Amino acid sequence: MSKTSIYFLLVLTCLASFLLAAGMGSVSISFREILSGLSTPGLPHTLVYELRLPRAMAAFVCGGMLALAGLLMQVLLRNPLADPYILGVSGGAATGALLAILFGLGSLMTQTAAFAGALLSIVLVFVLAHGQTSWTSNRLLLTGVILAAGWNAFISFILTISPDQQIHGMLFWLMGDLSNTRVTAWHGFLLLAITIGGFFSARQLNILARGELQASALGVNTRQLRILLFFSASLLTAIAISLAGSIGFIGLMVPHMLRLMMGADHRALVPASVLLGGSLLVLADTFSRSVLAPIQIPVGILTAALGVPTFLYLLYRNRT
Amino acid sequence: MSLLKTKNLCVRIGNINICDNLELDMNAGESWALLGRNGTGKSTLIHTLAGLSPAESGDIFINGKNLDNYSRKEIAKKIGVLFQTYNETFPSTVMESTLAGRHPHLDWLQWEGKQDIKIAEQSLHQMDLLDLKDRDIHTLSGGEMRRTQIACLLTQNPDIALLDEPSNHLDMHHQIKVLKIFRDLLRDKLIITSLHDINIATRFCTHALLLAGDGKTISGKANEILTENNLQRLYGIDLRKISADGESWFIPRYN
Repeated sequence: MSKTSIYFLLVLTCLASFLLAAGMGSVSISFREILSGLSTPGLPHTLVYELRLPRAMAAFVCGGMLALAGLLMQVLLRNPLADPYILGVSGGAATGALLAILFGLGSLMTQTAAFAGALLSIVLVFVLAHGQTSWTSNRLLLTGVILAAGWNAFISFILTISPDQQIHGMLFWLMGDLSNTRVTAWHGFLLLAITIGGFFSARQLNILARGELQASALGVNTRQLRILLFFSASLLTAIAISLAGSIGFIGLMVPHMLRLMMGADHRALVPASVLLGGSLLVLADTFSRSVLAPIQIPVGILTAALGVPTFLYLLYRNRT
Repeated sequence: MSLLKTKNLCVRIGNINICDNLELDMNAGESWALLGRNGTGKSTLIHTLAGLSPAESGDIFINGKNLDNYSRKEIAKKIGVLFQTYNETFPSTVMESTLAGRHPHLDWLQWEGKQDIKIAEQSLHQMDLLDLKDRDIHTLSGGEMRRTQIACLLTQNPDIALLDEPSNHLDMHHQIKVLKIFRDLLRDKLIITSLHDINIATRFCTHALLLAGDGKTISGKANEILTENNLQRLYGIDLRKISADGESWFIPRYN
């Protein structure tokens, strides 16, 4: 399949995911109704414009951010196993969020605490790994992984001492949950800005992905590029996670799915990651609130359920 | 003006003293062999000359201008490096890998165009890789991988080529072919090659730099310094120079 037709498919998937998100739920609304504009006020109008589409928009932005962050992390660490959470950003965010839930603070304070925890984690990793003269991928990776292990102990501790009625909310946060998530234009603008930046640095990313020394020898200012990558990927992760909790799989799978489909060129991969990551999370979130409606399943379970078979299919299709 | 010049260059790595106050004066058209035992710092010296790892003290000049005053991109237009090992993590085609050599010649927002692809195809053709250009590099043999890396260097087309054991993984046919290509194509360039085969050095190099491992170095014209005496001390083995058909070879004596 050519890159153009893959892009065409991605845009179609994106539109379809939004249509599904608008139509599916505990009250289903037919596509004809949605397409006819829902101009008359009423329950369907309120459902679509005030609940479902804003939530789908939030899912798209978070999914796009996670997929892009995963792609950039993989280049930064030159490790195909890297995901947005590998450097411990999610651990810091979760510790902040769980503490906020434990003390009974509202959802806005939980978001703020999660973001503060994520930022703390980013700064810790950067200072620890960057203090040395050589900022190697392995040192960065190990620093992040060790810090993540430390955060995990904290998280287990908070879960252990928390009263039963708060555990449910904490588990939802840990698995990712979009029911209270709303995004503003600023979130979309930031995602767009980093996507454009990544697109125009794609040639540098292609070369950095081959190796740091080789990239330097080919004229890339690797130190500057890696610091930029570290902070943009971490910031995207911190925002997505503070909005929606630690939604798994998207950040690891989407970049690999796209590499299997369209090759190694980041000019194609950067925008495609945002499109596919966003659409996948919109779909997952739509199913998570409609499959067992009115019960909502944490969206992280659905991203895995959708992503794992798709990914395995792509992986083995290419083997033959 | 000399193409590459060093002044009081001291390079160390860990406890190893690679060179003390090294004074080199290298010109276009010369081909230098870099010889020394394992761990005497041949690769590190190559990295230092390419500005990839810092020297302890001293200066390196390219076309009379201090290397410190070049940007990474300017250096990449002048100096190309063939590394000893590569560690490719992500899939990439032979063509994509080769095209990477055009990176320093393109502007920030510029994409590779027809001209760049033509240059890359020409390099692939020279390395007998044109038929493999759409293959993923991870499916290549060690020798094909090495030729892809060399094709990338040819595509970069630098004035100074630093080659770290270029004939690694290559069969004899491609060893000779690659060395001849470097000799012919880069006739107006400066080539510095780290080698373990003295006979390749005598055949293909005009000059040599011997690293003793304790900071002492010997440099000069190949036919003057590649002598039984120097090489016996360099490698700590018994060597004999054998001549036949107007050529000569260094052969180790096993006893």
